[in-house]
Amino acid sequence: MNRNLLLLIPLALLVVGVLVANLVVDRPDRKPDTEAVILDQPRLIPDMILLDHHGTAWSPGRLQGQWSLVFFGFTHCPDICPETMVQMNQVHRLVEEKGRVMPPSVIFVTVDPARDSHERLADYVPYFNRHFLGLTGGEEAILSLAASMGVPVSIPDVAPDEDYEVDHGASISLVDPEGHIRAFFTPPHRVESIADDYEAIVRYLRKR
Amino acid sequence: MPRLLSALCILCLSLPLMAEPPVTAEKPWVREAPPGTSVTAAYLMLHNRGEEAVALTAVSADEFARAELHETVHDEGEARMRRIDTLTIPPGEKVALEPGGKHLMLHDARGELRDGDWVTLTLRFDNEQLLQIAAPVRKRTGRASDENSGHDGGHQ
Repeated sequence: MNRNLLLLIPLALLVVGVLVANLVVDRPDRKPDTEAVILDQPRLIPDMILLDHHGTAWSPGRLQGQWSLVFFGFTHCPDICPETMVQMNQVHRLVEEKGRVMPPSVIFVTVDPARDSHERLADYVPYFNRHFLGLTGGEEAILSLAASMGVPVSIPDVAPDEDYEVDHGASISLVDPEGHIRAFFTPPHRVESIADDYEAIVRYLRKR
Repeated sequence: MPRLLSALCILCLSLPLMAEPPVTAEKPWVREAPPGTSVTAAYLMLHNRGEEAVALTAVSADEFARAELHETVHDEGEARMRRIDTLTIPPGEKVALEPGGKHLMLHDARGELRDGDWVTLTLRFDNEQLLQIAAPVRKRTGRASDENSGHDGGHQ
């Protein structure tokens, strides 16, 4: 074996070592620069019981095991609520196409439980994506979930058969696989930036 | 000669009626209402080709009990729907009614409307112009299947 080849071996080992190290530590060390607001401390969600669109009891423990995007709306809303569903679908697809992190589970919580029964949500939510989940329940439980996510909700005091709207916060919360709130996406929402921020935040936080 | 004169007179008198109406609509569409819902929204671009500002003052849709001009506004992170009484289009300019912004809110569909159906919108302006528009109903879910079929919601 000649001397030149012997010199090349440690060099090759070094290159392989660096490559392997990069694969193992696929995690940026610095907080990513995002439009989304990343919380300094994970925020807990208080316990409560809601009803999912299948009619099954739901509690925040169900958020564990995957990253989730949670937002609020109501089905009698003609523009911004269906449009946010559309955007969540587009975000989901963008993340899936890039294939760098798992796409989020998407949860739509009604702020109009008087009109949005779980049956109604079962018609509405899967129309956009059959993997998305709709939640309804008692007003108090919904308001407590909304408050933990910094989402103001003003449910008007009117009969359900009247024509009314429910003004509500439009932020989207990012919940980690431990069930803790880690970041907020604030409106106006842009699909590309939510998808990019989601990926950056998940990669930054996943081993922390 | 008198016949020619009278013909000219008639032509002159009818000129204002024949003039191009200043406001035109582009790319109108109606969001297919998700199952179980009876409210939805119509979107379009209004273009004022005239020399003076024109204001949209009333809207209606044949297929719906009621139509209103609305705007989704973001106020400190809160999304709020606001009714607008009039919408002014400056001369030579376009105003977009698009998802997440200004839109025509349509209440109580008289029948089920699905992707491919049509809605007749009537817009009344303060210059007495009545604009009638045929707007297609489009399914918009954000799935690849409805975006690849040439649907353009005026979205990014």
